[in-house]
Amino acid sequence: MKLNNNIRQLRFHKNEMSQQELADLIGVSRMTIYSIEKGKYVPSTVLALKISQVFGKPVEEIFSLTDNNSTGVKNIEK
Amino acid sequence: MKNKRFIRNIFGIISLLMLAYCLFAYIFLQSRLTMELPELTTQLRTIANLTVPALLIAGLYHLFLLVNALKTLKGKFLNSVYIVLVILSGATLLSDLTLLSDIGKEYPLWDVTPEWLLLYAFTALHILVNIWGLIYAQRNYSGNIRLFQQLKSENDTLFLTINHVALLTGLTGIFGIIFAALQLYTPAEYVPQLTIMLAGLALFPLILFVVYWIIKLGRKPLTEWLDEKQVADTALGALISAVVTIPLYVFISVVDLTNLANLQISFWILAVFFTQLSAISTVVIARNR
Repeated sequence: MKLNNNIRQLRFHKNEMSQQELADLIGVSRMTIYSIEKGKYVPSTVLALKISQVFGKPVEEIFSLTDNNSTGVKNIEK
Repeated sequence: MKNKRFIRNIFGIISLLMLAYCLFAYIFLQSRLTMELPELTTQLRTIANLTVPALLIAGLYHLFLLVNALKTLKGKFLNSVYIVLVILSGATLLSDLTLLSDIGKEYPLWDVTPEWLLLYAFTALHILVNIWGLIYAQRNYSGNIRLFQQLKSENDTLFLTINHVALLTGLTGIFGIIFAALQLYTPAEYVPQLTIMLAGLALFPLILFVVYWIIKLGRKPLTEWLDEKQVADTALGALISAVVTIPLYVFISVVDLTNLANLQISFWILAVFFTQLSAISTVVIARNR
């Protein structure tokens, strides 16, 4: 199971916001934003909600779960 | 700006010349201070005394290098190695005077070669740091940046640098206590003191950095010192460190039960501590690459 996100695209559409600017807005380090974007770190619920607040979108529009089975990517809701 | 750079370079070169003087003074003094010479001559005493202002100038330059390095932190490993060396070299400048003074008192009584070797090693470190500092300050001059200003939004940099420093401290500490335990130049009865002294020296840069960190973040609530990923990385580091030290505990128990080696408790405590420190910081650095 992998947590995907589209933070990078959302940053780009929000006046090309940098990782550092987003990090400053939600009170974390730039490396944390980088790691979340790369899928290396799964944020807490609080942090995910803060990110969704910054972009004005629901959490599920920013984050999604995928299954890495050999059959391919499956949506968790199925 | 050009004037400042000129003054900075002149300061660095004078400091280097002072260290070169100290090196030549030590070589000259070592050739003269033999057991056949019962007392120091005025000439030798003057040569030795002149190392005090020379080391003072080198000390002031080290202080400049440290402040400049703290203002231009990069979070890069080589940058952290440089800072640790500046701190260690600065701290051992004081030891040089103590060592020289001890040599002056002890040379008619017994062999002082270990003290001379230590003095040369420290001087080599000072000269290395001085040259590196001269080059480093050309490319990384802090200008008008105030000491705690640069890191306002650079939480990553300080966090990573502290972990680099912790790793270097751990490795230096392990090397130091093993060096002391080998009893190369020290009689067995002085090994615990040497172990603790070398461990303290290894810890000095980390203590200094933690103090710097506390001053930098002191106004923030404790819960905001680290963000959640940094806490998670440190926790993972602590878990791995606990696992890594299990074989060490087993080894210590076996050595203790079978009397394989007659090592002091201070050695084992410090060995575990420095191993844990190295393991935690290695994990954190690896997770923040």
